[in-house]
Amino acid sequence: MKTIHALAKRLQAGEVTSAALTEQYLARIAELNPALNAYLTVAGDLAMADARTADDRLRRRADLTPLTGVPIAIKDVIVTKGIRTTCGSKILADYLPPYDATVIARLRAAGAVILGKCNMDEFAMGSSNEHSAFGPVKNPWDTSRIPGGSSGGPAAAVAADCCAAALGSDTGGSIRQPASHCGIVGCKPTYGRVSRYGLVAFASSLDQIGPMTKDVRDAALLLEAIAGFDPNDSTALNVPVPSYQTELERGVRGLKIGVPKEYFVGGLDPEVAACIRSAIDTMKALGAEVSDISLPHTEYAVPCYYIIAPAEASANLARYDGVRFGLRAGNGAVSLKAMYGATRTDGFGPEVTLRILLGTYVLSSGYYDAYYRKAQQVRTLIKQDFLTAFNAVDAILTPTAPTTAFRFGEKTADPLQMYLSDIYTISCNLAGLPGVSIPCGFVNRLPVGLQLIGRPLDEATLLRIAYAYEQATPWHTQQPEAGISQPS
Amino acid sequence: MAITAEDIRYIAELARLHLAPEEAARYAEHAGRIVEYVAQLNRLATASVEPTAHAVEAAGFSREDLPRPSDAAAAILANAPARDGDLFTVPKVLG
Amino acid sequence: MKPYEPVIGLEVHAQLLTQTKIFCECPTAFGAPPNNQICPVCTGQPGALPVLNRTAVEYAIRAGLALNCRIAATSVFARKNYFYPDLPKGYQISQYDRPLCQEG
Repeated sequence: MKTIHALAKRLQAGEVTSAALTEQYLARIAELNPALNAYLTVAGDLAMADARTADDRLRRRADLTPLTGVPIAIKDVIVTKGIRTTCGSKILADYLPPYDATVIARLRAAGAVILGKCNMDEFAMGSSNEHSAFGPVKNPWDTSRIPGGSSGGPAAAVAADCCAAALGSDTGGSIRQPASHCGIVGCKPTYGRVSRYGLVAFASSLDQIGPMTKDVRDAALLLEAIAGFDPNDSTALNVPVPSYQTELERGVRGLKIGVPKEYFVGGLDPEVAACIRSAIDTMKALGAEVSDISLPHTEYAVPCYYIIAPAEASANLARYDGVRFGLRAGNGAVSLKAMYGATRTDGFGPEVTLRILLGTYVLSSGYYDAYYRKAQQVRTLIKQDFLTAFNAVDAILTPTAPTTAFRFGEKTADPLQMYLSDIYTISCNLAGLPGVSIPCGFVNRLPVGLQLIGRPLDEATLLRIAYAYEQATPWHTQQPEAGISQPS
Repeated sequence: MAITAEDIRYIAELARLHLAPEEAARYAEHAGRIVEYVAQLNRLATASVEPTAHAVEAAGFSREDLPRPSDAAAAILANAPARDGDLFTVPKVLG
Repeated sequence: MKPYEPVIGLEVHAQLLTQTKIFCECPTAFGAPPNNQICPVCTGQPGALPVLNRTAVEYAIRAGLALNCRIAATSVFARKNYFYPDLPKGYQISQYDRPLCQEG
């Protein structure tokens, strides 16, 4: 399997050059992307230039990191200087960012090769990738099904080996849910662990960038490369970043894992539930102490989120007004107001429009206390549930999503049905906690994901549990066929 | 609480979105169902609960007052949908 | 006719003599050509984030003390949303219910 750590070994041993590897990936993208639509922009020339720089570094053995020369994909919500960044939206279809996000600057400093920008639901609002202005991404395990969202492009690119690994973003499950549906590892770090500077804002108090990878070791090393304080983001926490990789192999013996009963009711598919139960048995066999716990406000997480996230989004999306960048429609409009209306109406798709309307409504005069303040109070209760639970357990284990990947069109008619796809992932964002999804089985040849939720800033324990489980199971070694040939 | 097409048209105006009448009706239906759904939060008594704006309380980092001119001005101006030299231009504000 | 009581509020603006803008590191040199002292933050580029200038807070507190204000130990910025071409983000980063200085 072409993991970062496997490729780094070959690159540093001189068995392959970054230029050759990058060429192979570009060829594979050219072959597979017409079917998958995982990439919106392939930065071929820039990637080859990155690769040659990395090869020079490898030859000089100067300042090598596990990412030096390794080809990475980036969700198109993270700005890249000089590489088009669309956020899956018509309103930014031709936007060339004048700066690099902090995570991009860190990847570049580490010597990574940036292959291109991956497809997503418009402004990260969606759970299926059907809300991209550039057409949906297909799930590499079954192209009649959604890859999950909103980081569906990066998830499909990783699963189909169109990159070594990717960066996604997660506001209510947008890394973990597609990771689950595409059979890869996805990690949403603690709020504040990774700088958001250059992450195009959807809901600023919930958004976080994280790794999407082929195995847990890669998630650990990629997180290590991007995490840490940033003077350009005043919410980035000024705390040391542990060496996640060295923590991995400590095993789970004696660790306490809680299983919340509220996550095993209602819409959970019985076959997905069976995979999770079997994973719990594996955890026990590995020496973890598993107990039942309760998170009593679980059912309020989705309604709480659908006040807070649209409210924040409605303000964050006000800057797309046709004045300084992006689309301007209604040229020849006689008034400023007409230009604003034409630009925003033409530029935003239906789901983004719906959420701007909802957010504007709940923040509008007279409704603030009834909706936004109320939701912020419920957010406190949800956070307290977790902090109470963490008095008794070291991590919480749940399904990542209630079902495997659904078919295109299955949930587009009813926004509420779509919103419930994130029922198990949303609480993590509201509480600011780290969460990891790892593969834990298959139902009808479709991947199932297991979610681990941890204490604030305790990604290390999550990755350690995830690694122990992964090493004891075969799921992460399976790859989609989809008529896809392996690059040499 | 039901949201009417008229409510939606008012909100759309605030958000600078133009909606055709049939669109306003569809958004009113969708938004109305979501607002009904989120109203279940009212089952919880929260009078004595402090609101959470950010899950992780950062100390509120601030910076020194030291100028560091950006080199991005040209790239920023290059994105202008309409410009006059180094100025961004817009349609008439009044009228 | 009932007598009316005049209640008059003054909105007074003052520019603080800081070297840089309040939320970014751009210089504030007077007389520079238009759109010369700009960066991703103050032009509201997607993804950019504000970082508060500590000196601006100090100067505001000094002004508050001079005006006999109560200075808040914790203060909060809020977004004031409206559309205008000189407002790059579509909202002002302003203060609302928990301002720095009150009751002066």
